[in-house]
Amino acid sequence: MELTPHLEGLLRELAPRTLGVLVRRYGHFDLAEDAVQEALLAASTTWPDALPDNPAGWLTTVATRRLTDLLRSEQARRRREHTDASRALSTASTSPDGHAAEEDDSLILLFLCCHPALTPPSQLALTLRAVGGLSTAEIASALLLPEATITRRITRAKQSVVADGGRFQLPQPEEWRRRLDVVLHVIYLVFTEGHTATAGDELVRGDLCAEALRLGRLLRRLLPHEPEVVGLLAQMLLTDARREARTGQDGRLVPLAEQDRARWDRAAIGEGLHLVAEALARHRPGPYQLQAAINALHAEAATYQETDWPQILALYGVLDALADDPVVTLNRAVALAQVEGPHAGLQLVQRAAADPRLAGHHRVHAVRAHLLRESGRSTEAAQEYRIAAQRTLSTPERTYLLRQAALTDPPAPSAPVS
Amino acid sequence: MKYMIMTFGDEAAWDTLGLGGTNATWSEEEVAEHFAAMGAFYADLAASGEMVTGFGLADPSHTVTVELRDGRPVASDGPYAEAKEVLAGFGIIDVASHDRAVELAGRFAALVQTRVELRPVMDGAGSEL
Repeated sequence: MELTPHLEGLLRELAPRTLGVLVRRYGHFDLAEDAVQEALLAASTTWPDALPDNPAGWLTTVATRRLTDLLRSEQARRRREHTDASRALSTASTSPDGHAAEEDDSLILLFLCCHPALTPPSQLALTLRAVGGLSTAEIASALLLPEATITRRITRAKQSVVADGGRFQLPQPEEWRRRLDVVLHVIYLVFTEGHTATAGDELVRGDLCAEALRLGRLLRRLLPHEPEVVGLLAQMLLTDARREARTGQDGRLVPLAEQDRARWDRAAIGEGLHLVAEALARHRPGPYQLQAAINALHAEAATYQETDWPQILALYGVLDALADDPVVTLNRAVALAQVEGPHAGLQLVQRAAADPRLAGHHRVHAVRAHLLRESGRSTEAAQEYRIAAQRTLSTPERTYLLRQAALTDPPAPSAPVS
Repeated sequence: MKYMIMTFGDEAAWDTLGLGGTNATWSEEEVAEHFAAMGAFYADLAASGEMVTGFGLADPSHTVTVELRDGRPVASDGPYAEAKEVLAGFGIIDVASHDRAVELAGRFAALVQTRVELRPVMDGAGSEL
């Protein structure tokens, strides 16, 4: 039976809370996660007919019953293997119930899923399932991978978390900041996976943006005083607001300068601008806040030409000093060219290109091509566009870059046959 | 990021592997060992969640060439021309980094005892410019 958006939203919201309750009571993060998935499945088949009076209680009861079964068969398996016959269900219960808010449980889950022992793709898959409440099949179709790959990735991730101790508690204060950075990064990864998709798979992948925004909002509810958490949500909203405008009808990439700004989502922009102001007022700037602030300036400009480039350049200057990321330097070069002219921009590109992390990166050539064209050096520009097209691994970017190369350097009319 | 790992062999390779074939230079045990090692490699990749898909290809004599003649597809057996090296198998992996892809290709090369090629798969996504 088809779930209504309301029911689906309810299930997604209850998923991490139920898992949190189970892991807090019984431990066994890996088995508890399976149990919650099965309870969600049961709910999705029975709830459309009759919604229980207490949906959260219903899910916890069903998931607990399932976990009990899983633990029993796990025990039986262990007994058969003569490894550890003494493990009983009772060993699991460690911490008293109810003293911590369910919201804290969701936060702990997020930190567990973003465990530093996992690779980013694993962190991402596990977060989508354990915190996002997505099924393996949904994650697989959103990431364009076979379901078996995602199943293994999640299983392996859960095992790694359990093997590493995976205690159900928030990290120690000295660890907290680093872990929060990973959580922010994983949510942003979910977002970019969805946002960078083009026409063909727009539908499934647009869901990833929605999921990232949902996770971003959840995190903001849990940590309302962290400006970077607010900054991340703002950055996602302001970027997502341009989704409609950044892809042409034929799936072609439309660069910021050429986008039809009437197609930008004004509601998302309004919320994003508000959040940027809220975050910056705390005077603890960070990379997400700065990127959001830059996007806010783009959002506020009526046309590309009217963009407040000096302000954007200043923000990139702060971001560049903070981030140690040569890609930021490249973006700063584009802003610098707008303020001081293409020559200054090209000099900065030269400096960024010296960074070994950018060696052979297509963006260096794409930015250089753009600036060469601005300064009227079309032949060199076309050549750089072609190098960039050759180096990118993205089909839509390649199409865009080759088109720019052709536009910049129209082929000479063929010589008449003599 | 997704990569394709390709392994190549000369046409004789299929014969040398062939159990009891006239040109078989591998003993049954060696062949069994080789397939077990390949199986273990694939199982490792599956367990780590990095395996997308992978296959070994049939003897190249099964190759069919399809080409357009006057805009219509025409299938013919072959090519039978003596090819130095033909594609013997391929796998698609989805890994966290380029370094990891190179590492896995290295393990694969050790298994097949020949060179392998690694190529990134184009992505349908594109960043805003």
